[in-house]
Formats: sequence, structure tokens, C-alpha cells
Amino acid sequence: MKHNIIITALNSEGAIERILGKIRSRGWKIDSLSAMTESDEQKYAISLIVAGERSIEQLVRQIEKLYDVELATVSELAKLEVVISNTDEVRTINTPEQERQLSFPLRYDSERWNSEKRAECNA
Amino acid sequence: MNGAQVLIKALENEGVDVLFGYPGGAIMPVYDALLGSKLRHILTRHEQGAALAADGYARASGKVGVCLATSGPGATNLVTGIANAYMDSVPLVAITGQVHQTLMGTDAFQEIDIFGITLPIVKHNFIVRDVRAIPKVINEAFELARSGKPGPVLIDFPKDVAVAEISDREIVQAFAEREEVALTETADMVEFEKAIALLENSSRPLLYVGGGVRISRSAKELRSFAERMGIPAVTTLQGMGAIPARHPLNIGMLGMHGLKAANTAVQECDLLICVGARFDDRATGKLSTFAPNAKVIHMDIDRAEVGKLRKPDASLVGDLKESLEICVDSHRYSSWRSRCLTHRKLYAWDYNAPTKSIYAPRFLRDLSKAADRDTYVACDVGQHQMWVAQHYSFHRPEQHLTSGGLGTMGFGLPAAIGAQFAFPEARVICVSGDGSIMMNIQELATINRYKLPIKIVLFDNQALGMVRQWQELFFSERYSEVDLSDNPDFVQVAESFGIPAFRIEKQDQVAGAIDKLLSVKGPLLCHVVIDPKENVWPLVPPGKSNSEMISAKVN
Repeated sequence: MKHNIIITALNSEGAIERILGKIRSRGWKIDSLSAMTESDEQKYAISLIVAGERSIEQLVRQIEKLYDVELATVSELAKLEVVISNTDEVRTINTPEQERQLSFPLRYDSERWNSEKRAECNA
Repeated sequence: MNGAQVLIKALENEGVDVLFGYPGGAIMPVYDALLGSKLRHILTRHEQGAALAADGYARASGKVGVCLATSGPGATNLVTGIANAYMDSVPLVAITGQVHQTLMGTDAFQEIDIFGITLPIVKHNFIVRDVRAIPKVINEAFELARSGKPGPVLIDFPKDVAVAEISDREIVQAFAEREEVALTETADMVEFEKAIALLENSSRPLLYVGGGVRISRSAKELRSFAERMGIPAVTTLQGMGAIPARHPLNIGMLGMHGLKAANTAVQECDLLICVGARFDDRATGKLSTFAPNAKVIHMDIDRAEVGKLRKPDASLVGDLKESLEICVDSHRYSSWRSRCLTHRKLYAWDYNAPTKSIYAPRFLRDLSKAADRDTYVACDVGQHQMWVAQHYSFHRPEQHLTSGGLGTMGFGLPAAIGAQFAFPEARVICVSGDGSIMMNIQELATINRYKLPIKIVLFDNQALGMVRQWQELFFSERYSEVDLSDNPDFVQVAESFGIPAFRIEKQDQVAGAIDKLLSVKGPLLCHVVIDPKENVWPLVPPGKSNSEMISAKVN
């Protein structure tokens, strides 16, 4: 199974290594990874596609436990919408294959995703 | 003041009184600053000893253990101790010296990326990049180590930061910048209601008690919970003593080398209340057949533990003290309770020695009976560790210091040292084996240096007993590298370290030996020669269900 994980983490020493190490040691493979600091460089916005057979909720809880992770959520792959950062072109990806064809880095449309999540919660 | 002095001041502010360590090049400014400080530094003879002593200190006292080492090999020697603390959720702060920041990344002398090396075995780690950040980093490190689910935190301390000067005004400012790290969770009310409903609908509930009870200091609340509702309890290796050994509701330790009554209770219960335990494979056996007919209530401080291996029907994530306040109108479980107690009597240990030589289980039972109730017992890893768990009676969970998660041979001696520094007046016994003791034998020098009255019981079967047992049972008696018959003379070894020692090999010498162990004031090593063929029974074969426990094979 493949899953998209969205993470907000502090831009502190080792933060990305910590997250990647956790994903590996808990038995997952990384299909794609995009990470960039936000404008003030205080935080990272990270989007990953991970592949594995274990419970994704468990992985997310393990990631959330990391001291420099502020938020980690899992999103359905089919709903993934990305902005190609260099071109600002928006594409909706439905399959991992389509996702693989994209150039990197990917920037996740977090505002849109958040409003969708809110709508889901309200429903 | 320089950075090293600020570090010491910050440690004093955290209430540190004892730290364990070993000096070296990159950490020298800190050792210089230690002179004249309020901190008591304990010199071990290997950095692994320092980390494990800090671990033992933390387990016994509940306070954060602190260890200190230099860069490079000093730092890598701490790694096993840090991993040990990580696996058993022990609050530990490890401080390592590091080369100058300008040299970091150049393969400098004694430079190693200890930050990178320890990433997977710490709750968090830091490199102190600026002298002004020291108070904040130390404060965060201690808060992190002890809050929530405790664990180790490493602080890498470059030499240039240690020698950097800071003005008095900046120091005041730096200490003012510390912030409280709030990391608490409270269980969901909906889950509480679910748990109550499960308890109300259960006729055979069972408590499955783990190390979380010791860590959160909630043994009193657990006992009150069990007594209030009359629910029997089984404990894990780390949960021993959480409910006193002879308590009428204690059915014993479950798992691979548990009591058959405990494993039977788990298999028969219809509601398993997991209190600060983590469904470890040594406790559950084949997971899919563990408590097969039971619903599960999982109480834990760590949300990530819930559902990791077994999906609960209700999860109370938060402080156990609060979760254990839950109550239903009860005392409806009396027939189930008496069934469990009947099993406990039926499957009680048989102390009739199968051979003429000294029988370690009986030795430990006799020692337990004779020693005062507040004795701390630190063990190593292997057969003797399981015998201690099975046959020594613990009344409080802090009394039993054992490396459960990592299973670190060599834990016993340093852990006993740590416990003795936490409680200088207490009686501390280290139970070890001839394999394990050699892994940190150098710490006999630490015991002698500080004249610690630690009593060492060394069971010697001239073999790597647990491995030999598995080779006998599961590898068709093909023995590979388990013979230790060329061990040194342990009495001579101890004496050369300045520790009095004696040897016993016959059953009729046991009473006298125990008497001596409990009456001599200073340190003492009792070398106990046991039958090399003796195994730990009963046993759940690896990968099998706990219902498939096997008893002693008749030779």
C-alpha cells in the first residue's frame, strides 16, 4: 500500500534524518520525498509517499512523537494535488505511476487539503 | 564563565547530584569545571559502565540519570547504555564531548558523528552550537527525558562551545530563556465510557501489568484498582513488584518463562486490561493466539503504543494514575478469581533440586526470604535473570533492575552501582552469570573505589547458559561457542580488585553463604557453582503460543 504523508516539522538539526530514519526503521520504503523550508526558514513542509504493508496510522503516530515534528497526517493518494514548484503548474495525481512521472520537488497545496479535511470532518 | 561552567551550573539547576562518566580530550573543559562544583562525579572504568550506571540510578530513583563521556570512542562506548535506556523507557541524559565545530566534518582526531549514530535510539538529541543556548538545551533535555514516555536524550558538546566565554549579563539572560516543555495527554472521555462498559460486561477480566507502572510511579493506584474491583493481575518482566509478589491477586509473571498459571489466565480471560505494557513478543508468545478470547483495554502514556501489535477495544492514553481511577460496581468476578488462584497453587514452583549441586532457583528463593523487603536486585541477562524474575519476591517495582527490552549482558554490575548511589543506605544485590559479568567486569574497580557495599551473587555454569539451553532444545544439541569452562577464577579476580570473595558448590553451603552475604558490611562476591546442564523452566518455545508451554525435560 502507498500513502501520502504530510508533515510540518521544525527546521532543527537532524529533523529530516530523524523522520526518514523512523520511516525506514518501522518497515516502510520511501517512493517520493519533497521537503522545503517555509519562508522564514523556521519550519519544513514535507510531503512523502511511502510504501509498506503495516498500519499507516502507527507510522504517523511514531512520526508525530518526534520532538521536532509539529504535525503529521496521512492523505489519500487519489486526492493528492501538487504544484510543480518551478512552473506553478497544478496537476492532480491519481496513481503512484503518475506521481512518479512528476519532476521534483513537489509542493503540496496544504490550504486546499486542509479545507477538504475540514469538510470531511464536518460531514 | 565559560561554556563548561555554564553546563555544570545548568546541571546543578536541574537538581543533578550524581553523574557517571569517564574523561578524555574533548570533554576536558567540563572535567575542569567539575572541580569545585556541587556535582558528584563517579568515575567508572568504561563508558558503557557509566551509561548503564546512570540507567540503574534512574530506574531505582525515578530521577534522570546523567552520564558523561568524551568524543569518539568515549561517545560510541555509551551507545549500548543509551539503547538500553531507550528500549526500557529510562530517563537518561548523556553528554558527550565533541571536537571544535570548525573540525567537525573533517574526520578530526576522536571525531565521530555521535548525533547521527544515536538518532534511532534517543527520544531526541542536540548539538550545542552556541554557549548562550546551553541552559535552554539542558532544560529541554531533562524535560524531554522525564516527561511522557521517558527515554534517553543525548547532548553533543563541542569543545569550542565549552571554552567560549560568556558575560554574567548574558548568563542571566540565557537562564531566563529556558521554557517549560509541556508534554501531557489526558485520556478521552469516550474511551473511558467504552472501558467501563467493557468492564461491566466482562466476567473474566485480567490485569496485564508492565513497566509503565514503575515509570509513572503508580503502583499504589494499580493496587487500589485491582483490590477495589477484585481483578487478578499478571505482570511482565518490567512490571514485577508493581503488585507485590505475595499479593492474593498476583498470579505471577506471564510469557516465555512465566508462571503457567499466569499464561493460563491470559489465555482464559475475556477482558485483558493492559496497564503500561507493550505486547512484547517475550510476553505474548505467538501474538495471534495471545488472549484469544479477550477484549482489550490499553492504558499507556504513549499513543503510538496503542494498536501497535494488538488493536484495543478501548484505549486510555494518558497518565496511568488517572486511567486507573476508573471504577465499576464490581466484585462479580469471584469465581474467576478463585480459578486463577487455584491455578497459582497448582502450578507453584517445585524447589526440590533435580540434582545434588546447588539449585539456583532455590538459592534465590532463600535469598529473597532472608533479605529485607527493601533490597534492590540488579541482574544481568540470561538464565539467572529469568530465575531472579521467577523466584525472587519483589514488593515494589523499583527494586527489580533488569534489562528487558535490549537484554544487555553486562547491565548488572553498573546498574547495581547506580542504584547504590541513588540509595547509599539500601541493600543492593547484583545477581550475575559467568558470561554476563565478564562484559563489565572492570566495574569491580568502581565498587572498590567508592567502597560500595554491593553484594554480588555470581552463578557459574561455565557456559553461556541461555544460548546453550536454546541450542539443546531448538538446534538439536549442536553446541556452538557456548562453552566458558576456561573462565578465570572469579574469587581471585574479585580479590585482585579489592573485593572479598568466596566460592560455594554444595547445597549445604547455601544457608551459610546467604547469611554471610546479608551480614558482611562491605562489598562481597559469592561465586556459586551450579550444574552446567540446568535449564530455565517452564518455557514457551520461540514462535509458539503461550498455551504451548513446556515443562522440564527429564534428563
